[in-house]
Amino acid sequence: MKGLFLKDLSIIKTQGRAVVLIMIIALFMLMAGNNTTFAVVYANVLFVTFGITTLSYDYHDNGYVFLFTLPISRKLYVMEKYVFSILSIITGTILSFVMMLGVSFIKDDYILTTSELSFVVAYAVGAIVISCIMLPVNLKFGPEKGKIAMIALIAIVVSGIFIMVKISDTMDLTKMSWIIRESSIMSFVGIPTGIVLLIISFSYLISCKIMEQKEF
Amino acid sequence: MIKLEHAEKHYKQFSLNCSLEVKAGQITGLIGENGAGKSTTFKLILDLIHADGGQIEVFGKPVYELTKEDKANMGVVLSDSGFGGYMTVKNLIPILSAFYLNFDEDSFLKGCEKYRIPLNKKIKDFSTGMKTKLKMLVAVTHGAKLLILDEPTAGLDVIVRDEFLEMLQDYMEKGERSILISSHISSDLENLCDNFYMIHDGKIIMHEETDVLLSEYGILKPTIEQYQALDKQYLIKVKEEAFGYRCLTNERQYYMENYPDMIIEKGNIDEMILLMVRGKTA
Repeated sequence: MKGLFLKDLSIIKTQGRAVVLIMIIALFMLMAGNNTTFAVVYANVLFVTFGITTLSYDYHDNGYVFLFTLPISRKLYVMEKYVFSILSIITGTILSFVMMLGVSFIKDDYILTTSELSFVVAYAVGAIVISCIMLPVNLKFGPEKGKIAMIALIAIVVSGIFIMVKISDTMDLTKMSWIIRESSIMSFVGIPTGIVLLIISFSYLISCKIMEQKEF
Repeated sequence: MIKLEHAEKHYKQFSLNCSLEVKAGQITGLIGENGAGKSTTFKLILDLIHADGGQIEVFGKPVYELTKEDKANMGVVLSDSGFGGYMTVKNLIPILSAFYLNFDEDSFLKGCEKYRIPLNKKIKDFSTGMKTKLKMLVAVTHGAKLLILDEPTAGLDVIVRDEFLEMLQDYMEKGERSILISSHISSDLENLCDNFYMIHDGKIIMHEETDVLLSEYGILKPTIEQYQALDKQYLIKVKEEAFGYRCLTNERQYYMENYPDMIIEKGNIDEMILLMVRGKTA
């Protein structure tokens, strides 16, 4: 996996300037103190797409053909894409934390709140889940058709959320407050972590299946 | 090293049914016109596409059972695919060291110097010749026992072709190694290969040792009258031409002795392909 990892890092190096530029802009946003959450989303956006970016590079110029003549298996390739994507997101999240902490030290009027920190974590989790959808879609359809498939998928998800909101409007959610009262902190952390791990595993298995069937 | 027994692959407009063998210590050429099935055969051997039937073995194992170590024992050069253009050769070195346990950085760097491959230039800015030499260097500097080269000489000028053949000869000198190489320009391969397979329309139409091909095969060029009187039992293929016939035989000596007035040439492999593909059975 080391070879694949180094190869992907050399792709990301080509985007080094863009990363630095985005980080500086995000830092300015934080310093200006207008909208912390937007700054975090902005700073992280490249890190979220790194995995997919490397996939596009592999795909172009008939790259897959040569790649799979190297001493790697298709499963290992898929595994590396997931590890690389998740590590990129974690790196972006850590950098966001560091930036927020730095700004909170420099600026007296900026106080880092737990809600802001939880937003960064939630954003990272959301990014991992999105990657888990994007990776198999891109592996199956390739980067160009993958974009169309992603738009269709987003439309379905948004429609689903819209329908759920409409249904929840008709329900009395205060009756559900017992869940919060009865739940321990462990289950608040444990259940979402379990769900995310389940999503990653499920997505990984689908991606492996796609790659096993693929012909180059 | 490689064994294909009725390896089949079916597409809508093309079907492959191929049997061939590459033995240890030998260089085997796969020749045929564009679209004959050379690349499909290579892709089956490299497990890049799934066979619809038959058996494909490399190092005595079915291709789908090859381990990471087995694949590290193979060096592959493909004409239309390689490392990403965004990389430089310098970037490539740690990656190759990570992929191949036996990667010989010293001989790779010496090769780069010898064949004038720049270390700091992006691969996308390389000429076709430079790209091929780089792919070839990668293939021969990690201790591979088997080289699989699909149309490696495509688009190369005479000098680069010569350098390329020199690299192959150097490679074969270092122990019992094998090469499977394909080309649609077979003159490159005449002095290199121990034996040839000729593929046409997805099928192997001829397999012969190069020595036999060059010493026993020949092209007869009889006039219409000479052709009518000709003993046709040793003619493999015949093609009618404007002023007579062109015939492929595997008994050149017989015709030379019995028809001294007839034009009989040794012929090269390209001419033989042409007759095998375009000619009719006598």
